[in-house]
Amino acid sequence: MILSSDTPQVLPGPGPASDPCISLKPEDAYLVICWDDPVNLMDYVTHVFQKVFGWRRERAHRHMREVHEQGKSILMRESLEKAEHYVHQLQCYHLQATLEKDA
Amino acid sequence: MKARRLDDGELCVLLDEREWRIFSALLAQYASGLDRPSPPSHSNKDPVIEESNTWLREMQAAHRQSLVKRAATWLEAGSTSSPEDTSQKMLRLSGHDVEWMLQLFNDLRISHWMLLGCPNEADLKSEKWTEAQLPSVWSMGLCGMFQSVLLQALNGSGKPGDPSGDEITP
Repeated sequence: MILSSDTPQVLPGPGPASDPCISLKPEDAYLVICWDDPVNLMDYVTHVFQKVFGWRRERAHRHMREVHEQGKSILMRESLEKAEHYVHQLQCYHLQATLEKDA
Repeated sequence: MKARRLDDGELCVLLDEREWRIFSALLAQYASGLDRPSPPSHSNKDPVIEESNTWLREMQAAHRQSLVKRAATWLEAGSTSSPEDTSQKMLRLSGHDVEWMLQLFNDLRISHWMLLGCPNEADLKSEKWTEAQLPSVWSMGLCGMFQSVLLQALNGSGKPGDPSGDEITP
């Protein structure tokens, strides 16, 4: 299920499952959420989003602003396995990331 | 300190003697396994998520150990060169090196922030710290400075011919 932290990162590609608009069955969908904290640098958070999700800077920046201004941002809606993978990657960078069942 | 992205994607980082001492001291501090309070755990009533959280906590602890080991190995290897006729240290960092260093400096910042009692931004800038707390305040600032220089270089400033540079003096 898991990549060890020493394993080179192979992130899920930008396929359909990585598109937040794709329809996962509600019972199968989990949300990857990043929470605000007063310690992480804004540029650092933007960089992490770019690195983990392969996003362009503008999109990463938009989510970073959302975290900063609204307290959290929903970054992905994914299957449990992929959501866990993303949360783990974010936590490797020491961001406050959690997964939640999509209601 | 100057950092510049090279054509092959690596970062070239130049540090003077004092910057190098601080840089290596921070890495050594991390490699020595800084004690810090436990991070807050996220409990959840959903057993599937609770199981995931347990696994994620274990993985994060394992990742931290791998960073500690990496810092120690890197310091032992003496991964620098000194340009001729200067007292500067030059680092050539691969993309992979930059990522683990960013993670390490961030973890160290957070560790000191937790040791300071998780102050908010305004409190961090206050001058109410005790003498015993000052090393943590300074370490946070220095880790943030190194992170910023690396991030600026990654994002394109500091390229050859870019006069804006990334020179920051601690």
